[in-house]
Amino acid sequence: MENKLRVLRAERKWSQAFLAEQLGVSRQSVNAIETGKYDPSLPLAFAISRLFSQPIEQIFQDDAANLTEAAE
Amino acid sequence: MANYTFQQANRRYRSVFFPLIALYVVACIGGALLLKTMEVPPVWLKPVVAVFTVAPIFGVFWLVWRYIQETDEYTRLRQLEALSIGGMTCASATGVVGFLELYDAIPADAVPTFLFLPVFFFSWGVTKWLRGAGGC
Repeated sequence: MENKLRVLRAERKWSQAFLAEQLGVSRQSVNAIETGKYDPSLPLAFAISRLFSQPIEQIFQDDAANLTEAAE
Repeated sequence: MANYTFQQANRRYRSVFFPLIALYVVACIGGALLLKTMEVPPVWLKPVVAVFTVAPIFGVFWLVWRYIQETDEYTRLRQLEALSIGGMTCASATGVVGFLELYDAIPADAVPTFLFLPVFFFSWGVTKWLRGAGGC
C-alpha cells in the first residue's frame, strides 16, 4: 500500500523519531510504513490520520482500488 | 493489548530485565558456592538450587511476553518473527544433537543440555539484529 507519510512529515520538518514519539511507536515502525514495508493497522492508521488532520484515504492509497479505477 | 506506547513498553521492560539478570547471576554464583561448601549436600538441595537458578530466566520469558503485548504492532511482529526463528533454530539444533546421540555419532554427554538456553537466546538475538527489529 502506498502512502504519503514521508511527504506529510517532511512538510512539517519532523524527524522520524519525533513522529514515532507522537504516535507512540518505534522509529523503525515509522520507517517501515514510509518505505511501504509495513501496512499499519486501522487504529494506527486512524492515529496518523488524526495527527495530520487528513482522511485516511488521502494518506494511504489502496493499490487494488487504484488499479480498478484505472481499468474503468 | 495493554495501552502503552513503544517508549513506555521499553522502559517497563528494562526496569525489570536488568534486576532479573542480576538475580540470575547471583543465583548462578550463590548456588554453585552453596553446593561447594557442603561435602555431601542433601538430595533435595540440588534440584532446588537448579530450579531457583533458572527461575529468573522464567521471569525473563514472562517479561518478553508482557513486552510483546505492550509494544507497538510493528515491533511486536518483528519480535514474534525473531522469537519464532530463534525457537525453530534451537529446536532444530536439539533434534540434530538428539539423533547424533541416538545413533552414537557423538557421545551421549557431548553437548551439555543447558547450552540450549543460550543457543535459543543467541539465535533470537541474531535474528533480531539481522532483521532490524526495534525495541528491547
